[in-house]
Amino acid sequence: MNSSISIDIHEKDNYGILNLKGELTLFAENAVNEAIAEFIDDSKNIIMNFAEVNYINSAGIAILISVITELRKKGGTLKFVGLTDHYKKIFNMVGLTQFGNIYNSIEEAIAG
Amino acid sequence: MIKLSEKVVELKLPSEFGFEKVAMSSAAEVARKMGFSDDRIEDLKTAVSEACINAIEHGNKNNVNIKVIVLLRIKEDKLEITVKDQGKGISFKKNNHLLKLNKPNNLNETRRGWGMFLIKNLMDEVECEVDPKSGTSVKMIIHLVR
Repeated sequence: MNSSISIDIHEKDNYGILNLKGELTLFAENAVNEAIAEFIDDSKNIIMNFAEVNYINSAGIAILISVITELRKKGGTLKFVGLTDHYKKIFNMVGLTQFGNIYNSIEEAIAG
Repeated sequence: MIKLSEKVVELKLPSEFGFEKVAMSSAAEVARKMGFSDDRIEDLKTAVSEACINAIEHGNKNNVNIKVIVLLRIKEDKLEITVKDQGKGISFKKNNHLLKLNKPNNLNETRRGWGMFLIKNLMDEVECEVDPKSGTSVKMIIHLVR
């Protein structure tokens, strides 16, 4: 019963935008790392859109911590959009929001 | 709203990632029938998921032939969820809010171990029993607020 994720990536206003769809679990690690690698040496500013993510577990949080770690090394930034109220709470609880702000939309994240 | 006397739902899950979602759905449905709010049901789903993942990975070592036992005890004013594995005991890492790290450069060292942190912060009560012979049992309690 492997979970799956697909990631659509594009660039906008010097941001790398990752639209995630599916589940952010252990099995998403390769896909997320490959997506981040597309931008990390160039724009370094990443927006992760969770609007179509229906499940995030602690392994998914571990992946995000790794992303933050890599971006910090390169001086990049990370922003989150599309989170449900529950996952906003989880991100705050863990402390992810100290390293990446939450926005209501991609447009707000680019403007913010 | 259905009033339920104390009843027990028992699940036996193969120790394979993905099956935690069966426990999540079952716990959510029971909680919904009991009258829990949507946000508490989401908290419950995450806590149950994390307890099952710990049991699958650390307790039963992803051995699909060994079961994770999930008990949902329905009481008048609370729901008790017990997740048991059959391993040799889990040592739970003590994670904390990322900003409370003494050395921010050690961020990557905190990658794993968030399961129990989330369980303790989302549930009203948590009890852990670790027995090297019979495995680890995590009991989570969520109180019904009317």
